[in-house]
Amino acid sequence: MFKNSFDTPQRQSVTGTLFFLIMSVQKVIRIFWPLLLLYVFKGNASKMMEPKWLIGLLLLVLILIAHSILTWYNFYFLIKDKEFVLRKGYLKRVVIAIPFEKIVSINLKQGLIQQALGVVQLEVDSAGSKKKEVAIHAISREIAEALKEQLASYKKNTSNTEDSIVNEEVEEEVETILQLSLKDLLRISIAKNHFRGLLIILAFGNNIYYQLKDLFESEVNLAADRTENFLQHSSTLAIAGMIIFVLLVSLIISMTEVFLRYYNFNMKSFVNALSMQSGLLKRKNITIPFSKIQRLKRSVNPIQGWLNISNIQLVQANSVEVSKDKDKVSIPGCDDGKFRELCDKFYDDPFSQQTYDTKPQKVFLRRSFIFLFIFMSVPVFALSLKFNWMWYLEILVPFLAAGIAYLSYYRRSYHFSSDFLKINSGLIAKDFSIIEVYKVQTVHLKRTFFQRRNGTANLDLGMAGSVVRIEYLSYEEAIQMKDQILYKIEESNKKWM
Amino acid sequence: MIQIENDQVWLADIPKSETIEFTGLLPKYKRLLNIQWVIFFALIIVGLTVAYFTFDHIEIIWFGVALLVWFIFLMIKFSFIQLSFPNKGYAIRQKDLHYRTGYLTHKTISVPFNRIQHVEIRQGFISKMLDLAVLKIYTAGNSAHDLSLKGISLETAEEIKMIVTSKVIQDV
Repeated sequence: MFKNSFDTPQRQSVTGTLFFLIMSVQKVIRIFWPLLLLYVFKGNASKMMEPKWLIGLLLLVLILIAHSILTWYNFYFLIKDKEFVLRKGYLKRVVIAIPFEKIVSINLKQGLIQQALGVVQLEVDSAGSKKKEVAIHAISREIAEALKEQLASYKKNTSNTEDSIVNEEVEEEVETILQLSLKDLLRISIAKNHFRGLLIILAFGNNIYYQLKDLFESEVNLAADRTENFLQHSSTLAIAGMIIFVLLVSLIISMTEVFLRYYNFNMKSFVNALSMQSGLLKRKNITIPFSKIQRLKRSVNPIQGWLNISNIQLVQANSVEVSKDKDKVSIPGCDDGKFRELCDKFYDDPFSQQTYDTKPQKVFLRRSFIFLFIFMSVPVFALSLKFNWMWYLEILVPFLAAGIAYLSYYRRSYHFSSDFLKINSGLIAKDFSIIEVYKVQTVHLKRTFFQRRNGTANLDLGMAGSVVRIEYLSYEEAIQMKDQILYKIEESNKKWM
Repeated sequence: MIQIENDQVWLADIPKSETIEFTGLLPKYKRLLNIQWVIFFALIIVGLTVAYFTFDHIEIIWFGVALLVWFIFLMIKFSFIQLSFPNKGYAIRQKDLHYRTGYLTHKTISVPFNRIQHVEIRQGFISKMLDLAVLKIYTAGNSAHDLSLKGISLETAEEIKMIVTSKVIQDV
């Protein structure tokens, strides 16, 4: 075990200089590549061999090397007075100090270059620091882990003093909750929504088609004629083949996506935080304290339901609006048992509380039918001006609209208990959301002109990172729910993040 | 952990929304809105006229149509300003702040004091002349759902800010 107190300033790992060098070379190339291209294409490449250019190049290389060494030499990190301190810069000195209580999460990352050099990157997200990057780019894994543990343990200590009763006897308890094998990854990719893959095929397919057409105009025409011929003669077979081909390609696309993101997925739980590692080329390490979780969403599409897996998304609170993917963390491939286990970990007894169950009012059904009917009719009408046969599609529209409206009405239900709000929704996939009531930030009560006539109302609960919509409650119910929620927020003195 | 009684979902003795009494906004605010939108529509008509006279291939009929559309929008906007004004208002309770607005869709936004991140007072050029201010209240929720309390005097804004910030600090 690596022991280090981090109270004296430390530099990054020596290989860090190499990392900085590569990064700065990359930066220079990124700035100058149009110039370089110009040189090469104008046939001036030989000019580059002239002494003055070579000297210039040599100077540039020397400057870059000096820069990376200086950057490395002047970069220190330490822990001092309950603060995580970074000192960096040689031309402009910068000191960043983050008090422990401001630390939101600590992430370890490893890009390709860092992987090759055997170092990792440690990033610290903090509340209040305006997008200023607090990152150590190149330290060895042991040091990173030790540092992370230290930062996390300090955090735990401070939180322990706040509510002193909680878990004193519990030692740092690490437990692996979920690990995904190759088989799991395969199942996840099969059950993924393939529409995206399909869209990619359409987008790129079109592109490729046009490029090919530009290149071999006549051949393509011939081939197109032939395929058309072929299609006319054996249309069912060809269409079946096409479908299988498209499915296969979208499956492959989903699979690469899943493998890149979730390869060797490993989720561990600590006393009050969750840590995840995954990724094939770029290993990502995310730590989420339980208290930062604002919303848990679970989504099960029919194939996932059949394979007994589901996708869970955690919406995390960040006082600074960081990039979207950092706020929302996905946990793929959880079965029912794992889902329950996670819920029990995050929340205090979420499923046994008595609930008040309600659904949207029946008006919701009629409203969404009318809306969908109009919404789908417009393109049909527009197209039928051009193609006469499109008119017949209009016959299908009311049925389709009714089906969708009914399904979304049927799936939607709200379950309100004294600490939690659970929402079921979805259309093809079954979606489930759970929030802790006291983490709501704002409550909006909305009533359109029609809703005032039929006595319904919508509630929008503004959460950190997302909005929870509760639609078409009866007005009395909405008012009652709003009062309860407001009361619970105001009475609670628990920290919402 | 505090043990919360599990048996009862709806608590009975809590502050009720029905009892909230909303304070209407200052009538001056209606004037401000009118002035702002008059400027907006004036700019559009100027733009339309300039466009008509610079590009000569625009037929007069289209200019007429544009004028008609402009007039319809103007009428709708100004009637909405008049109609929605009585519905606008704010209320401050012991632990939360409410703002009501809208004509076609009635909206009531409620923000508990212990969820407020910070408060900001803004005053534009025209509102300065009318002694009006906007109190912007930021929460950690979605920024589209932040509350701006418009149509109050600067004095009231400062007062509410005092109340809110003192409550926020008390909580921490």
